[in-house]
Amino acid sequence: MDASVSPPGRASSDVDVLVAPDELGPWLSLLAQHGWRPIDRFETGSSFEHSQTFHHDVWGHLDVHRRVPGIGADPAVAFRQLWDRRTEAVVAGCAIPVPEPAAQALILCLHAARSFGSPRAAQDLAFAWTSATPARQSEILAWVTALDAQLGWAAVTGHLDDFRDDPAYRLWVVASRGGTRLEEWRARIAVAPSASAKLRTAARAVLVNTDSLAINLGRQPTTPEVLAALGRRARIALWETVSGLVQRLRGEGRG
Amino acid sequence: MTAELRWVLAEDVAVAEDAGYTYLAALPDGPIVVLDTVAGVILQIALDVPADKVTAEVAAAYGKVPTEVDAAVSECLSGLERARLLRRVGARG
Repeated sequence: MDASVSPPGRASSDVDVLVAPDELGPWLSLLAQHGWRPIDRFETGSSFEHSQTFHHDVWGHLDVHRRVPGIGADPAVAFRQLWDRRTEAVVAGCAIPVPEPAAQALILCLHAARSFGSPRAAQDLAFAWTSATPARQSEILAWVTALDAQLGWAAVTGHLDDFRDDPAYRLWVVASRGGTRLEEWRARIAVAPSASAKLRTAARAVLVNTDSLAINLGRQPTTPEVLAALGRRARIALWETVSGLVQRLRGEGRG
Repeated sequence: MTAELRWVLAEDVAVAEDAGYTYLAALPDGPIVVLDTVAGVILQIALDVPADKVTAEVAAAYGKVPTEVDAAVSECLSGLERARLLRRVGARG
């Protein structure tokens, strides 16, 4: 990232790549040809379903993004806007196309906004936005408008409740303020674009995320391990439902 | 006009330096080769001067006579050449 965007000494353990939607298929094929192995799927990587993580024995981890959470514009349109105003960063002697600094700052802030409880996210926000020059802040706000990023930006600035009617509101509430797994899945179902997508998401909520389980185990899980994880999920879901009900009843009792 | 040989980085090689180490990586599949300080100096000199002057320059850098460093320099550079990170090209001098 540009020195004006990222705090000095900020390190990262992976590389984030944004791919144009119409080039995603060929891109993923190319990764497979060069020894990159997927360790999750877009659907299981995060509640925003925006990226897929790959591992390479030499290079380590790579996150392929099909969109940036918080950018409301169509992913292809957003990519084109970022690409048209791209700049270059030199990494290990190689010129890499990257978004221009103000767009980098917006992406970093949107990432920070959905990183509930992360000390690094707070540092990123302070550096990239709060301490930015007025000129840079204006540039960032111009990108917010250009990329239709008002909802994500509201999470950055603490005005998320202005977007209560937005389908993605709950997802951002959970991502930026924390929440239970149950609340997260409710939010994911709410944001799914169609009835069938909502059904598929609801079905996945019940099932074990075998990608995540494999990462934790360091290998593919066995059937008994998947069943055990399913039991744990059911117990957690039950507990969250009961404790949510108790909290609601207590609230009603006080009111 | 004579053709003089020079060492150059191979195509699609990434180079980074950190904490006295030099990292060379062949793109897109690797491997990554890590050079210690001395090997890093040899590489830097090899990229700066004609190939037949590298040994003398390295020797001068370390206050040695060329015969003392010749084997190490040759081993280092030929190893990088075998790894397809470095290659010799002819340049008109």
